[in-house]
Amino acid sequence: MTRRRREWLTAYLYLAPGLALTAVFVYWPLVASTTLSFYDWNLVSPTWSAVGWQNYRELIGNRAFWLALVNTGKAAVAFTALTVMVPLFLAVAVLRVSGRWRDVYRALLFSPTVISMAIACAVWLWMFHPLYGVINSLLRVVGIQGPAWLSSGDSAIWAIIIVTVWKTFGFNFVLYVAGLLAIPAEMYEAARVDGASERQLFRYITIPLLAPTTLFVLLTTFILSPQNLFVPTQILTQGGPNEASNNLGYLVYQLGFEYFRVGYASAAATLIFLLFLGLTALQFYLAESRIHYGR
Amino acid sequence: MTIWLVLLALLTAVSVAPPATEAADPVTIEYWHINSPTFGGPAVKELVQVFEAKHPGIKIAEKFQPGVYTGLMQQLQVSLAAKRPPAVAQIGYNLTAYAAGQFPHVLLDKYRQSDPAFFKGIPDNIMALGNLSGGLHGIPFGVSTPVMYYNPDLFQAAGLNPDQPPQTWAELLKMGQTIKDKTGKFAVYLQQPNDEWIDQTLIWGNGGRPLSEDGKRVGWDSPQAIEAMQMWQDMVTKTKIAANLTWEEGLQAFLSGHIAMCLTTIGRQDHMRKNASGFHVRAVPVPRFGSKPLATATGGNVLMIFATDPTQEKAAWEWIKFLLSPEGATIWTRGTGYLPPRAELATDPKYLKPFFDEAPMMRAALQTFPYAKPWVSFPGARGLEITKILIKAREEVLEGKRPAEPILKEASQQANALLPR
Amino acid sequence: MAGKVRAIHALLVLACVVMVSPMLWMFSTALKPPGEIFAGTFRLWPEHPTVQNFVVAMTQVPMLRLFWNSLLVALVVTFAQGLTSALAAYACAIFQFPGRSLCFGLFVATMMVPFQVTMIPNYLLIARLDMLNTYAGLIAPQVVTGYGVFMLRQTFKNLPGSLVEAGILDGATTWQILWRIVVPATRTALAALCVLFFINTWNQYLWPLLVATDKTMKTLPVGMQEFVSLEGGTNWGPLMAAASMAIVPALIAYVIAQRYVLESFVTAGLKE
Repeated sequence: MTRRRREWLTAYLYLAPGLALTAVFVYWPLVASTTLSFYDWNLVSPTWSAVGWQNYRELIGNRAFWLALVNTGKAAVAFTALTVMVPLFLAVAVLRVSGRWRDVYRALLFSPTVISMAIACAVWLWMFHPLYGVINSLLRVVGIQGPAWLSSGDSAIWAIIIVTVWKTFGFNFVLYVAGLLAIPAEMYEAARVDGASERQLFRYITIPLLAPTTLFVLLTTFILSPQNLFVPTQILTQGGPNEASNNLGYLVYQLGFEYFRVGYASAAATLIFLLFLGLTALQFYLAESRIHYGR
Repeated sequence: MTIWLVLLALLTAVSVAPPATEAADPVTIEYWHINSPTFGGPAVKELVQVFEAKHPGIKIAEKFQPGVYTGLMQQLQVSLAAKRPPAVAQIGYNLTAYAAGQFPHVLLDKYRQSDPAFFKGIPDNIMALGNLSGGLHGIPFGVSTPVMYYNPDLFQAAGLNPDQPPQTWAELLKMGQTIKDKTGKFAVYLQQPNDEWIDQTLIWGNGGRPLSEDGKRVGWDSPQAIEAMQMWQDMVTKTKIAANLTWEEGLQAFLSGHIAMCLTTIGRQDHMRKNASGFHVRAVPVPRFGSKPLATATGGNVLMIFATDPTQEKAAWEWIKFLLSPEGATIWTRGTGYLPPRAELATDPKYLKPFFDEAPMMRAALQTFPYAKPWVSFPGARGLEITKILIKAREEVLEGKRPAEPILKEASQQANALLPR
Repeated sequence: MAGKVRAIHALLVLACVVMVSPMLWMFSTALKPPGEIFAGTFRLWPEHPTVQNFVVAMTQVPMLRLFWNSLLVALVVTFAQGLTSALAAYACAIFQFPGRSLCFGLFVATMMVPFQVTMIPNYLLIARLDMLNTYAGLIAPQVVTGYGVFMLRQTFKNLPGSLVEAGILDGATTWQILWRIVVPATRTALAALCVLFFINTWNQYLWPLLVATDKTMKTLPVGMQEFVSLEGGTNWGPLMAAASMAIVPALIAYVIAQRYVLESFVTAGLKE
């Protein structure tokens, strides 16, 4: 066997367990679900019918679907700003601090990640209370009349976004810290010896060397946004009021578990999968070409 | 490195230990319920103990399902898909039509012949709650009514008599205005959960029907419904005496003294009593519409049998009979604040009279009981979506950007299209 | 310079306050008796602090058992996810072979599959294999994660090429290169990743809810739901007490990882 062929075989061996498990636990269900999307069934009734593209047509015509799409889009933008960029700056800031303080800040900034989303929502429910919650009380001090966060169509999705940002911030923060720590100190020292300013260090060393992590954080935040929005939506608003806070992550649940229309939910899931697949592939290829990896 | 492998091996060994094998005797059946430790959980355990002592051949594996009735339905659906359903489960009234129509289960009419004595003890209007499209699909078990809890201290602060809360909506509107003017707090909160229980109560109360007799049209666009919902909208947006909050927010606000009156289920009475901050909660029946008689939707659940094995089915039926027996119903009512399906138990000193004496708020429910109407669940495969359409209609009404009439008419049109022809 | 440091501290303190204040309410509620939880005016420290909620939490649900179940599952899953991610990422980052992009894409794409899609078929499979209410059933579908493969591929690919080449020149096998060169060189990232895996699994709710319905097999988040009842009223005090106790292992995992990471890189970083 040639050396190249051996390399191929070795690679496939390393991949085999992961691919096999993924095939069983992720891709087979996806195929099954997509098949199901052409039927009208609730998984339980003895009667079911093939409906062709009916589910997809109904989805396109469903107001909730479009609201969900728009809301997920709003969330994606908010997440990009707040959970992709802000953690980066805070990670840099934390590493500029030395000694005990650094540990304290890191732990505190990471702490929301540690509690379960359900508990976080329970706490935020209290904070969002229009009458006496912390947020509206603080706004009142500044003279602003805070909205009924969860009961008003305009603010409901933002409440969910706020909770999600607060909760998922720590994930990306920790990854940025790890990425920053991996940059060898010698590079900074050498550049400083050459007379580079802090800003130049940041722009020409930190950002490029952090690029692989940044790409990862950006893409995963985008991809996982429906999933991350789900629990807050389920607990705080159930998609309401009047679908105002519905989003792609919750929509599949609503169709499949509130209405028990599993075929219909599968159609939504397939559409969402294809949508994210396309958008992510696009972002990935655009960005990957610009990153200079170590190897 | 080796340490990790050893650790992994150990953990894997522990993980793949086979589950305990079941004994051949006795019969074990699964009973799914929504009774959390503070909402009847201990009562369920007690019921199981008493029952198993009487029936040594049957074991009850009681399992709590989170998420109340909706959560239980979701678990049920998945377990039915895997062909491992529980033998007996509590199905919320608003979900009964869907479960009866779409989930395979046991029809219970045959037991009328075999156990006539059991059926004689339950009043007809209660048993009717389990009757759907001509068959007995479940035995009504939990029976709750909405009541109006109120904060006597806020009444006093507004200069009103705390012993005379409003009995009609007209009175409530007037007193509510006084409370708002004098104390600045909201006067009332009508529960806004992910169901339309209170909405149906309003419709029944104003003389309408949530669903027509022939089951072909929802009643949300009837003049009575429109009038009632418009009243609610005005309370929220015009006179601003009612708060527009999610269910949990609204209840919390009541408990912390920010709202004077709260219309919600009697099931919460123990929670209200324990958690009210600095005042003693009282309860009365919900307000009437003028001279029209009191009418409320009945909350709670039916017990449905999903067992496919005949031995399991028999055991399940024995369990159900016990749960509704005077002894079982007593334990149940004490633990939950649900009403007993047999009204006479409430005044029987041997059974529930002491309980009702100790929990004065339960009296409001007792007074409402004779006027209890069904919580209509919508038939057909799209019944659950109909419920959502009507909830969304309510949310839109309370947002107040349009009057109630066009919203309700549109929603009813959409809902009617989903009803079976 | 001092002013700049002070500005940084101020920024960080503000961020920390935002992050931490909801948790303070959680702890505060855990210590309050029922009558105080919904008091009209908010007090951080209760008027009559009590440990009653903690007692109730421990007695009403089998906390120790729930803790143990969650811990076992989280540890095994973390280990498994770390292992499978490292193996797959190693292949995708270091080797050249046909279908490399496709394989990598397949792993990443798993993150885009809505979990509701995989939940039910996986449940039916586990049920058919009679693995309901077992640890294996709780663990099995989660053994591979696209998130881990993606992240480690980025990290491995970012290693200086000389590192791996040196190993090849030394005649090391790919297995040895992975465990003796690549993994040690990336242990910051690996540690961070494993912490995230642990916390994710620790707090997981929907899958254990489906699979572990027996009282003895439930995990902590599922068990805590017993305090929540929209019908009879949520028992906030014990719920928050249980939640406060539940974060301890996750915090410990984080602190251990932070110490471990810090100790390996005493001189690295952006110190002034």
